[in-house]
Amino acid sequence: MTSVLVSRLARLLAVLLAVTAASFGMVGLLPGDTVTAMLGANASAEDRQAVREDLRLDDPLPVRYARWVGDAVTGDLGTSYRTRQPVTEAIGQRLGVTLELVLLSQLIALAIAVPMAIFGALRPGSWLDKLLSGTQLAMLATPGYLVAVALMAVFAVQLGWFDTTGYVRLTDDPFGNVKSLLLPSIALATEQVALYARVMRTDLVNTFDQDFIWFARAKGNSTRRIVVHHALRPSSIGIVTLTGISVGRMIGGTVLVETIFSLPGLGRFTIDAINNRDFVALQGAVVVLTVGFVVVNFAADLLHGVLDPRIRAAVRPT
Amino acid sequence: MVIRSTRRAVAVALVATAGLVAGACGGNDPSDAITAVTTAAPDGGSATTAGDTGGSGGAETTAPESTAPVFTNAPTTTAEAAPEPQPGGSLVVGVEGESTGYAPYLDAWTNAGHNVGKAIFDTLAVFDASGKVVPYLAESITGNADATVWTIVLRPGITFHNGEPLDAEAVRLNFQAVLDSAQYKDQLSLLASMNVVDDLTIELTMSSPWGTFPNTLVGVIGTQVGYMAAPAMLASPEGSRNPIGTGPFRFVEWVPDDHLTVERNDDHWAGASYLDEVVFRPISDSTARKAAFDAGDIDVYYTGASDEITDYFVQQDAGEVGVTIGAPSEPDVVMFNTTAPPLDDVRVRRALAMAVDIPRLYDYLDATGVKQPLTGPYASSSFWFVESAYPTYDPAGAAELIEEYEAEVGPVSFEFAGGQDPFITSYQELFQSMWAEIGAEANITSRAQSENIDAVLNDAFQVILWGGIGGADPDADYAQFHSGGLNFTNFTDPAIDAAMDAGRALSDPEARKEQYAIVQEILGEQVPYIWTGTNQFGVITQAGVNGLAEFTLPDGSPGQPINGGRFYLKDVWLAA
Repeated sequence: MTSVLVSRLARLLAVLLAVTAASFGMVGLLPGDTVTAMLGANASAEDRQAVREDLRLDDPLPVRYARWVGDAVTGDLGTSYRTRQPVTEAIGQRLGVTLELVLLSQLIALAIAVPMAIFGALRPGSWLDKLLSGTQLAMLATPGYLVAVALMAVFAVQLGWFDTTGYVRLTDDPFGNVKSLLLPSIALATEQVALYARVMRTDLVNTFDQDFIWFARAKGNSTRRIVVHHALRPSSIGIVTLTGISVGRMIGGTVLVETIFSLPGLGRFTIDAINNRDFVALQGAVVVLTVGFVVVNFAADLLHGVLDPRIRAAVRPT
Repeated sequence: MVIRSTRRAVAVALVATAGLVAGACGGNDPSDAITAVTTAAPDGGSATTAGDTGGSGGAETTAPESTAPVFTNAPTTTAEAAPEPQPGGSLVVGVEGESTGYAPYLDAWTNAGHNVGKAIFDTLAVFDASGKVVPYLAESITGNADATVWTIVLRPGITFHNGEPLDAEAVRLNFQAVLDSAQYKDQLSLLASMNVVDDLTIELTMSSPWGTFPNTLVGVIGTQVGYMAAPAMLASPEGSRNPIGTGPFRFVEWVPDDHLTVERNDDHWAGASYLDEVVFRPISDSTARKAAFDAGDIDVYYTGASDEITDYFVQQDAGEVGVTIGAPSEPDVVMFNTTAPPLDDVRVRRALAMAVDIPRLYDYLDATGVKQPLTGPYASSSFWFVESAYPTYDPAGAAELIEEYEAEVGPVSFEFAGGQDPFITSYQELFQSMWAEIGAEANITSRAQSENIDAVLNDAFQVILWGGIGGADPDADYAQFHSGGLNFTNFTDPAIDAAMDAGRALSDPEARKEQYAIVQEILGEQVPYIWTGTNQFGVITQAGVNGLAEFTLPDGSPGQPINGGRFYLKDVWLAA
């Protein structure tokens, strides 16, 4: 197990280097520059140059990247060009919001997708299966921002059940915290529900056709028992893998959802950093998001082993 | 000179204000994108309550008076004020984006930043109801005959929220903080030296005449010098996140991207405010901001979207909301690079202006009755306005000019740049079709705002949707109209240079107006810009929110409560 962890850690470092170098390079290719974003069009050439020198923006991109990596390995993610706030502090203020949002979205997506998949798989081709399948297609085809705006219009503006804006800290008011994140989480979960349900339905249909399920039926087990005790576990490999991979998609989705619902999360921080060509802030966000993505997928890999002994044996060191 | 104390138009404005900093704001709302960094003098103008004629304010002044203009257009307004203001309550204000911080000497503020700033800080000067600059924290702001030495005398007994006194040394430290800032020292570019005369008096010597210096001391977009921060805040590296001023509200808490809370300063030198607390919520998405207001989650917000303002006028008639429109801010323009053919020929520029049907534009923007048509940098209601030879709508005459040019030089074809919002592209297509009708071909380019700014800075444009020019004191346009400034259009004229220099050195408003009349006449003839209309902000309030259209000066006379999207909360109160 230790060697697996070491191997994973080495891979994480390689991924981090590759992703941060790529993001550094890509932001460098974006038209417009940091100083224009900071000072606007009316600043004088002298002032522009002074800021440029102050921030050492004239250094070649590889030099700036190497300097950043040198600081980052000591735990210093730098100071934002724009806000002059240490990036670690800024991320610390926002990370919890995004983590909560993604976690709640995943829970909502799984809570809806798994029953949908079970009901569809129990009667493949039935009217219920077709209805669920059609619903999933509609969910897949509807952009997340549209869902967000529609949820806000109906449940916040028209019905007044939720606030349109504002985040309540968990420590201040747990109920208020969930309430402030529920609509954004549903908006973020919508697409995932469809994806999870479709993948799991297919896996369940295949599982229901396996000999051990027929054997369980022959023993007189109830459908409920067969599903819960025999079919769900082997049918969960696909959805667990997808859950890990979809974290990246969801993090991308938080940019829109956090903007629409005015949540102080990492998605909004990241898009602000991109818009303002704030390399340092962006790099910090990229590191945190990359680590998060790799860790979640590592956890998904471990979970595969729990779900399927054959996978556990395959990763065991020899 | 002595002054003595006694989503539609939204998107277009986004591009139109491209000369201003987008970085300071977090959203897509056009009203977001406004933070010029320049030595701009303040805009004038007034917002008034219904029935107010926008007449002179009543603040005592001695001649020669302020150099600020007097706008007489008294826009529209707001919910009826209840008779007796009541203390207490919490007000939630939706703002268009997050600020980088709240240090006026470091952070370039959009309207959002200024609105927080006006709650926490006071400025040395403010506008009175008629748009004149009058001292506020200062008791007097006095210039010598040639406006090269200015003396500021402070009111006695004013303290910052942390107990430090507002004295001449504090003012010097604030000005020095601006001078030390690579980003913002331009705001005091003419300040050569400072001398603290006594506890309450500071003398400022300028490197050349600066007749409009008092305008700099009012907090407006692009000019934050007048906000006074506590010396302890200036000395702290965390000052930007822990603002300390003398204002009517004290800073309590800031959770970036979520909220900033202030509470009433019971010891405010001009009398305590009514509200217990104000919460500012940054909501960068304009749709979400409107939804938050409609749901009752915020009590006040402001918008540059003329269609929203029009909608709320209907609700105001039903007594459901209040709508107050501030003085017009910087106009929207189509800007020409006058050194890039075919725009280097005045016939082409005039023809393109003559082809623009303003009512068609306003119909598209749903801005009829909200925006005011322009024939130059200043609205017809502005003190600075003069008639000029700016062309009127005449498509037939425009077609003739284009034919004449084509016969001599060749086809009229050019790149027309704008932002990436589809609404802006459609807006550009409207121009494109009007220009096609006279035989001119516009090729539309859509770029990110920062790319457009870079293109303008590098002369890599022909025609572009732009903003941030005109509307304010003409000296604010020095950098754009003078050959020695940034001058994005590259249009220069020795007569304009002379007039801009003379206007800067003079202090008498009428004498200055004569100089700026020369500028307007030449701009009208030579058309480096097509003026498409004033930029208007509406401040929308829930029923029960009172006093937003009021801002009482220390002597009891009315000040200017709203300018563009910036307002004071000192006299706001909530009905029980």
